[in-house]
Amino acid sequence: MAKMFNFLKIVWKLAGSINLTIALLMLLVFDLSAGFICLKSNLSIFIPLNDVGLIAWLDTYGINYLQYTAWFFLLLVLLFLLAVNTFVCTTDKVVILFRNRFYYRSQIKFILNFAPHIIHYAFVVILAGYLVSYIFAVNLPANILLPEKSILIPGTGYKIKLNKLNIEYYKGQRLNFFQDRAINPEAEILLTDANGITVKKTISVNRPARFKGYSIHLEDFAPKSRTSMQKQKYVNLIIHNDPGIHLYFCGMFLFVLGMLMYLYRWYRP
Amino acid sequence: MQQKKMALFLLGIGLTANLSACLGKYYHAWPMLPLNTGMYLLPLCLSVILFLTKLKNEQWSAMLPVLICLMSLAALFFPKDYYLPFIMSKTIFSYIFFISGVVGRSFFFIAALKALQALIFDNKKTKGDSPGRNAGMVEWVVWGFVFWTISMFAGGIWSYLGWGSPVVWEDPAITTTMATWFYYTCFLHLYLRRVWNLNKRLIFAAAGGILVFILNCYPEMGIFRIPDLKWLRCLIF
Repeated sequence: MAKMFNFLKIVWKLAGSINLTIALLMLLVFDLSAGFICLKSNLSIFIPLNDVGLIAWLDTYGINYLQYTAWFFLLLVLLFLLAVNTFVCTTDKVVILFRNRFYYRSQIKFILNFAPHIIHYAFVVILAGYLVSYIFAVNLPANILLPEKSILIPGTGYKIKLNKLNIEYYKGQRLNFFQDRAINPEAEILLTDANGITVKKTISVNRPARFKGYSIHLEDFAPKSRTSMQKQKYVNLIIHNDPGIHLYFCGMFLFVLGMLMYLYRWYRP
Repeated sequence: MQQKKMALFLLGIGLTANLSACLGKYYHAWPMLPLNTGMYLLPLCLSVILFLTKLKNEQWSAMLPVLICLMSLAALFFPKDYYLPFIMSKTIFSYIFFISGVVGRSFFFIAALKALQALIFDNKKTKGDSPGRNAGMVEWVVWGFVFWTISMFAGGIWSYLGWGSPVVWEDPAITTTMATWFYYTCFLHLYLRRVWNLNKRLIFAAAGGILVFILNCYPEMGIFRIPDLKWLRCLIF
């Protein structure tokens, strides 16, 4: 039992070592630089990653184009190791900080000393958010809606209907190249749940709508220009159910908070 | 003294010209984001830093003005700003993403120059781990890291709003952005935990400048083109 405990202690110490942190960070830099070259010349292999999710992508594109995707496999391993390293190292430091809390005369100084640890935990939370997103998110791309026509959101009893599509076309002198092209498309959609309750939402570019855990994003629309041949109005929606997004944004918020606390500590008189 | 005044005056003219060109690009794209203008904003940002710090009498070696000149020439002869803006960029987050990225990059360059300056010039005066040798440089890295992180987060929010996911694998720049972030995370760990000695840390910070250029500036450069000087000919003749 004592042997086992000692072994675990050694593993824990190794897992939280700063030398491991440095090695992992440097490997990540090299791996991501190699990733840039692979990604640049083979973008079409990586684009489906968002549509099909991580597991399905690794099983298909990932395995079949290993010469271009090996860096991505290595990236996942390195990020996992870095997350473990960050968690172990930070937890050690937080425990020490709590143990020494009585030595701090000022409460603020004690709290501010948590700044780097908040940043580190936030990093782990962000990575966890990504992982949850890539594994559990439901992504439904290419949902084409025509005016007054409704479609079912696949896998749910929810219906979605395009009620109105208002497209504002640019008319002015400043953006000459944009003359008569759509500058502000707004789609009014009706969303009906399984009980038949309907709500009205307006979506636009960079302005998604949320409905029963799903986020609905405007990906494309037509007509894009007042003078275009394409007269048929339609919208193309991305429907997304991402359980990891809250974790991701929470991590982001914590990271910024930790950074602000750190800067305050840095410049504090 | 006369030379210094003249240099500052010329820098001021260049700064004004660059600023008006950048503002013009934004004016002709607003509310969208003018694409691939990072290489124009970078010398502008570096010049503003040089100008403001010079006013405070901070001593710089000739390296910063040389870097500004090289960046300006790169922007002038290797332009890539001929793509039209798109309406997906019509959000405050795209602007935060873009401008914070440029500011972060500038700070990393300044830190690299400071490190180089400490390695070359200060070595003659002070030796060893004297804290004064890297004090200025670390501050630039910290602020560069802050802006770079803000840029990444803003990019994540923009990506989520527009495409439904904070990471979209449609632009290879995502890998270089992350690589830069990890590099400077590594630097901050080396500095804060004193893992390496000061000389090695300075070399690491100086190498960061080369890395930032290769990973973040080079992809933003287009092919070699002689600038169209039609307006200049009209002005003269």
